[in-house]
Amino acid sequence: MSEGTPLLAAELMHRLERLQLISRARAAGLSHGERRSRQHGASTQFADYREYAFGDDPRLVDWNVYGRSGHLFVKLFEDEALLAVHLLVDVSRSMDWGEPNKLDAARRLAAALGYVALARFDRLYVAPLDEDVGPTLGPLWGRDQAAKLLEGLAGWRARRATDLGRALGGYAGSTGRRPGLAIVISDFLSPTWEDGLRALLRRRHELAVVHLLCPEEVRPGGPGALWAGPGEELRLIDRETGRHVEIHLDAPALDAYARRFAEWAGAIERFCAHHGAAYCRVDSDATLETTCFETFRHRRVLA
Amino acid sequence: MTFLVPLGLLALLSIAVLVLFYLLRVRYRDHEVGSTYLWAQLTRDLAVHEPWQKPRVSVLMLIQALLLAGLALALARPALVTGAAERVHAVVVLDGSASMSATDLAPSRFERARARAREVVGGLPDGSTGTVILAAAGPEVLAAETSDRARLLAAIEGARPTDAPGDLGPALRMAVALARGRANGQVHVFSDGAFRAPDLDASGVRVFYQPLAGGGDAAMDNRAIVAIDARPEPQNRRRYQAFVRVQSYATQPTEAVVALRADDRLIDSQTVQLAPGGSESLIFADLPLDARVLEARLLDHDALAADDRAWTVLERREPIQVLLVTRGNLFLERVLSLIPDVEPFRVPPRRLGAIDDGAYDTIVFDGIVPDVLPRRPTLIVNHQDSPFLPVRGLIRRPGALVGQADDPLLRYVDLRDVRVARLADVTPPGWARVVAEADGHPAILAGEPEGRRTVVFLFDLQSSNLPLSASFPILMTNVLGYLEPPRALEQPVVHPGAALRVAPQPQTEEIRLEGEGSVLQRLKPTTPPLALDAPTRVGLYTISQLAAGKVASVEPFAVNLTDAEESDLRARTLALPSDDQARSAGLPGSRELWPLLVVAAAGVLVGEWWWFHRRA
Repeated sequence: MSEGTPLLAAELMHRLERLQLISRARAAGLSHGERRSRQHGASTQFADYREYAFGDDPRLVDWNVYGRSGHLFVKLFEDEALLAVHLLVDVSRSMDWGEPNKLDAARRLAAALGYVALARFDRLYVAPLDEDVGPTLGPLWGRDQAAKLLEGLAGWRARRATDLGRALGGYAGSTGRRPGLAIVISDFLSPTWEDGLRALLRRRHELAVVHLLCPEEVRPGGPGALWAGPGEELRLIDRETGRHVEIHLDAPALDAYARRFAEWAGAIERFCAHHGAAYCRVDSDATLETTCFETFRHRRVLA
Repeated sequence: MTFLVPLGLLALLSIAVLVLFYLLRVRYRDHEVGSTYLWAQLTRDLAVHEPWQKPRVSVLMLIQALLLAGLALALARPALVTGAAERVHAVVVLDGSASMSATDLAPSRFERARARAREVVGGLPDGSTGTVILAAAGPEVLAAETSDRARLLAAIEGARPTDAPGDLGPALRMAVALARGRANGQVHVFSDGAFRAPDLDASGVRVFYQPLAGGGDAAMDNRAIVAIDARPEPQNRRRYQAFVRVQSYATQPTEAVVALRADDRLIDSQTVQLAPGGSESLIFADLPLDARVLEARLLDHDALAADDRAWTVLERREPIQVLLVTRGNLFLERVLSLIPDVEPFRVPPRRLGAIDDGAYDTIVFDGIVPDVLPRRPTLIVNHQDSPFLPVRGLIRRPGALVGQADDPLLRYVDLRDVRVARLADVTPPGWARVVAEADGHPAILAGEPEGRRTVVFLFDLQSSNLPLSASFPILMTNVLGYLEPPRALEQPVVHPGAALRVAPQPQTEEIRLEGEGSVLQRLKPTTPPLALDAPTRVGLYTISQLAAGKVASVEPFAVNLTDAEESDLRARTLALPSDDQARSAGLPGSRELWPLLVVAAAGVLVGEWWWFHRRA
C-alpha cells in the first residue's frame, strides 16, 4: 500500500455507516437482568439512540421519536450499546506478501469492520498478531475514534513469523476485556491456528473468521503466479523462516497442491461451522466494497 | 551418403550428458512465497528432493537434444557421393608486384585479384585441395597444399601486395610443378601481366590466367620517377647536384611537378612538361652542404603511388682521421698532408699508450709494431719483428719491386724503378696477399687479419727511393682508400626485395635494419658480407651497427621502384601455356551436407529461444 492512500475512502465510510456487525448476543436480546447479574455494577441507564437495524429487539424502538421524525430508533442502554468487538489481525511476515499484498488488504478489512463497529457504538478492541499478540488498540467507541483506529492500523509493520495458537491464546488469556465478537483476520498459514481459535472460544468469545489469501496461494498455476511453464524446477523460499522447499512444478504437482489447499481451507471452514463461527474466505484482490457488501453480508458477518 | 569424419558421431554422446543434466535437476529458480506451510507437506508426495529423478518429457530437452544431434552430425561431415570426377588440385598464384597496387581498378588490382581468388577457392568442388602462392620479388607459399578451404581463404585474405618488380617466372614454375601429376591439377594466375612471359612447360596442367589490368584513362594517367642520382658539382666537389628523370605513360601531353627534399626538408620543386610516353630529366643544384638523403616526389596523385617517390643517399666523405705513430718521418707526414680528405695526427711511440686509438679511422705505425694491434685499419711501415708478423731476418739489396698488376692497391702505380736497401724477411701469413715483391721476397702485404684491414710495408721508406717517385702519393692514396672504414652497404639504393649486402665493421655486435619507425630485422654479424633481402616496400631505411651496446654507425639506404615495366600500367596481353586436355580419370566426388545441418541447428536454436521466452 502506498503511503498516503487512505484506508477507507470517505464515500465508503458513509456507506459503511449503514451496516452493523452481526452478533448472536445482540440478536438474542439478552435481558437486562441477565446482564446485570453477569456484569456487576452495570445499569439500564439510557445511553443514546441509534437507527433500528435488522436483529434489534422491536421492543426497544422509541415510538415517540418515530412519531416525531418518522424514523425507527432504538434506545441504547449502557450495557447493551457496548458490544465488545475484538478485531484480531494477523500482521506476520507471511501476510506481508502476495499481489495484491495481503497485509494491505487486512488493514483495509480491519478498518472497514472497525469503522462499522465504531459507527454502531460498539466497544472496539484492535490487536495485531504474529508470534504473539501485539499492543492492543482500544477500547474505542464512537465515530470520533475512527481517526485513531485508522492511524493505529496504518502503523502496523510485519516483522515476525506467525504463531496463531500463541498469539490468540495470549489475547484470550489477557484480563480486563469483556468477551464479545472476536473477528480474526489471517491467512491461517500457521500449524497452530486451531489452538488459537479454541482459546477464543473457551473465553466465550463469539467468533468470526476472515480467511485472507492472495491469488497465488489459491491458484499457484494461475496467470502471473508461480506457473511459468511445464516442468520448471523451483526453490520456494519461506518469507517468514527462510527455509526452502524444492519442487518440480508441473500439472501433477499443481493438482496435489490444489488438493492440499482444499483440505486445509475446508478444515478451517468446518471448524468454524462446528463452533457456530462465521467463516469468510477473502482473496486479497477482491475490492473492499465487494467484500463488505457481498461476502460479509452473505457470510452473516455484516448486516 | 557417407561420413567424411565418422569420429564426429561421438559427439552424439553429448545427448546422454544433456539427459543426465535433466535427471540431476541441478538448477532451481528461486521464488519467495509467504509461507511454505502447504508446500512442505507436498514434497513427500512429489519426492522432488531426490537428486535422481525419473526423466520427464520436456519440450526444451527435446529441442536441445535435436540441436545436439544436428551439430554432432555436422561434425561427422555427412556427404552425398556424387560419383562425378570433380576434385581438383588448384594452385592459386597471386601477383604481388608493384603494379598490382595500381588503383585503375577500384579499389586496386590486388584487391580484385584477391576477390577473384576467393571466388575460385569458394567454388572448388568438395574434397579438392589448394595451394596459395604470392609472387613478388620471389615466390612465397602462403598456404601449403590443404583441403581446408578456410585456411586457403585466410591465406588469400592475409596476402599483401609489395612494391617489388614482378617476376612471375619462378612462382609459375613452382605452381606448375605442384599441380603436375595431380588429378585435375590447375594453376590459377591472377596478374596484370606486367612481366615477361616465362619459359614454362605446362604439360599436364591447366593454367587459367585471369588478367586484371584495367587499362583506360586511369591507367594511362601514370607518371613515374624512373631515375634519381646525385653527384658532386664539377666546380666544387663539396657541393652536390641531383639528377631526376620523370617518365610519362599518358597518351596525351601532360605535366608533372617534382619536389626535391633534402633530409625531409623541401629544397626545390620544378614543373616539367611531358610528351605522350616521353621522359624528361631535371637537375637540382645548390643542395645543402650537409644533406645526406634526397627524396624526389611527384606531387600529383596518379594510378600508382609506389613510383611517385624515389630517394638517393649522398656518399659524402668525412675527412679520414689518420694517427701516425712515428719517431719522425718527413715523407709520411708530407704525403698524408697532401692527400685530399685526410686529416693526419702525429704521436711519438712513447705516448701511444695515452692515445685513444679508437677515435681515429686509420693508424699508421712507422718503425714500430705493438704486440697487440688496435682494432682499426692499420698501415705498418718499416715492419719490425713482432708476434703479429715474425721477421726471420733482413734481405739486403733485393732488387727492384715488382707489383701484382691487378691489385687495386697498385692502380696507376709504377714500381719499376723503385728499389729498397733492406727488406724484412717474413713468411706471408694466411690472411695476407702479396701486393709487391722483390727477388721473390714479399715487400708489401695486404689483408684482413681478424676482420681488420691491414697493409704492411716490409721496408723502410727512408732507405728506399719510393718516396721520391711520382707513384708514392698515388700508392698512399690507394692504401688509405683501401684502409678507409668501409661502408656497411655496398649499394645505398636498391630495388624492393633485392639482395642487400652488408659488410659490418670488425667491432660490430649487432646489425639492425630499421624503417617505418621500427626495427624490421636484427642480425648478428658474420664474416663478410651479410646478404639479406631488402624491404619490399619503397622507402627510406637505415642499417645500424651496434658495438658495446651503442650505435656505432647509421647508414641510410633507399628502396626505389624505378622500374619502367611496373610503372607501365597499360593493359597487357599475355598468353600463358596451358594443357587444356589435362584431366584425370576421375575420383568420386561428394557434396557435403554439414552447412545444411548447421543452418537447421541454428533454426532449432531460434525455436528454443522462442519456446523459452514464450513461457516466461
